[in-house]
Amino acid sequence: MATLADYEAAAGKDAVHEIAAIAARLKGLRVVNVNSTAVGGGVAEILIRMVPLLQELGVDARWEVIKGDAAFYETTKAMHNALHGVEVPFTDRMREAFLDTTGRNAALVNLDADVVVIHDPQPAGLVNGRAAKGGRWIWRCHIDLSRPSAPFWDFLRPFVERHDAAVFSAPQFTQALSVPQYMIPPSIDPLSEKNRELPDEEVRATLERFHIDPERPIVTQISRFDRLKDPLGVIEAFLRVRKRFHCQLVLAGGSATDDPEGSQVLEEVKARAGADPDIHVLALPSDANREINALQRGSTILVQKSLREGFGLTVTEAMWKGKPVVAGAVGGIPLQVRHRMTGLLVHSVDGAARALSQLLANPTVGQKMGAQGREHVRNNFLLTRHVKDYLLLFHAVMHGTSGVVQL
Amino acid sequence: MADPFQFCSSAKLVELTGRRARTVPELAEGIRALDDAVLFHHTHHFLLQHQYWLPEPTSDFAWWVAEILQERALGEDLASINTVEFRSIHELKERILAVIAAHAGDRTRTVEAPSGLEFHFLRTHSYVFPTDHRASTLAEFAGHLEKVSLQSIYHHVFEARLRLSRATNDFAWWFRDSLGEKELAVSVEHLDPYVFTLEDLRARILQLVKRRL
Repeated sequence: MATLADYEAAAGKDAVHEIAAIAARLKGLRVVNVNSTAVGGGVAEILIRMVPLLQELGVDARWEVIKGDAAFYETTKAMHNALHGVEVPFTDRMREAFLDTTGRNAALVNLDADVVVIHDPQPAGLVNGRAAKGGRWIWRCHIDLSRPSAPFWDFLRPFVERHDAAVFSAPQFTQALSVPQYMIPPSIDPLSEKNRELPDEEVRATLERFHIDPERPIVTQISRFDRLKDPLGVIEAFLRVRKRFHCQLVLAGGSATDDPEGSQVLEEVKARAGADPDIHVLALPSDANREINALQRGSTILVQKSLREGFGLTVTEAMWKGKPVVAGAVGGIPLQVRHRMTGLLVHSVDGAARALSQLLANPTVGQKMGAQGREHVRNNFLLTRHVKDYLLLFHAVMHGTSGVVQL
Repeated sequence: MADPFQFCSSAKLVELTGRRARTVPELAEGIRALDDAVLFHHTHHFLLQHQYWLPEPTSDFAWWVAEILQERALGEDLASINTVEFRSIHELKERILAVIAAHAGDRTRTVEAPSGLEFHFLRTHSYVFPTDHRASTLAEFAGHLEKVSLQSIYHHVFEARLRLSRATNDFAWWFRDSLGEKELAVSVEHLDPYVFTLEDLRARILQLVKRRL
């Protein structure tokens, strides 16, 4: 397991030293993080690394995962889509599934802590038991909440407002709330299997294993098979571009344990790709981090043509690998992709096709964008920055905030 | 023996105020109503976020007005406000509002930002803490300046002057008050820190100090 000192090479010594200076004021603080899946998805990826680092810094940090049945996960998937603006009926059955599962988990999950961090909607109902538990409660929202479907948000908001603070990944995700709201973008771990440096031979071997030609340009989107990631739109854009550029498309994704829709979308994508030898649809296991790393490093351009997005960690990963990015201008993506400096922001299939063409036609421009993107990630989106933000957040909920605080 | 210079650093927690603007009048209302920590965020956060790029935009207000609302003339005037001339956030706020007011007469219709591109008012909370770098002489100062973090330079040059309402940046203050180095203090004060990247600002100040040594 990596220690804080191991991050100095990627994040810089100053970043690491400053985290230690801030954490010194929080030694012994008891913090529990709660989410709904131990594997798959960005939240689990962050907690797997962050909790041990907090522990190394002297914070008594834990991680609890709630358990649910099929009815609960169908409800929370529907909630996920609805909070992104998809119109989905909110039924009594869903309400019961959510509340019943919350009740069962309230008895199972250890929430005895100074600070309880609830990640996303799935465990939000646990706040009903806060009077008995004590502590400060933080609701950490990782999704795009800018256009939620009213019935679901009306159901969820009272739970959110029973917390002491809410955290969002981007300013446009805020809703009118009666509690203070903070902005903490998520991050990537530069030392993880998904992001560490790989030998060129391994990258090449991975491409060849998936029958991808390393000698030709490769356009890749790495995402769960989810309609909000618009994989069919990516195929459309690619087909237009391929009329002029002899390139290949890779659509690769795993699945999270709380995503029942994934297999359906995968079938739709496979049907659209058909037998096209230049389109590679790869359904990877949820722990295929090294393969994803190699696919990203072996690609010419990385795409994230999301229609809705929380933060878009695949964009951060792509930029960390020094690749130019073509991405939907949604959610937290514009926080990362500075148009024409670290990538190209697009709003449509046409826009994506044009952006891909520009980068394929001008590889040195793409290389420069990639280099700039990597530095932007180093300064703003590494795990070390994220740890620092959480430490400051703990300080804020425990002691209040006042503009300029002398630690 | 001069008082030593204690290099501090600061870390930022960004608060979402929940207030947003869709038009220039709403932008002005927000600027007027919200506190100095909000104004400081929108005129300074890019210095830390984009350390290796030229400091652009000069303020979020200027960028949003020009790029989202397409009010290029107002955007240019807001971008031209020379932050280094102001001794307090309050003075800066008044100038920004005055520039916006000056353009009100030119506006024949109120442009609204497209949905999703509204201006979001954010507030920076700064957490300041001492570092291991402490200098008693100018030579020691130079040695530490080469090594301190960019966040430390940002704190002493930008935050101390405007946010903590000190008359000048911390470096110039120490040169003048503790070391009696008036000329060096003046030369550092004459730098416009808003036109450098933080790394270039470090190099420039270091050059001035080494020239004096």
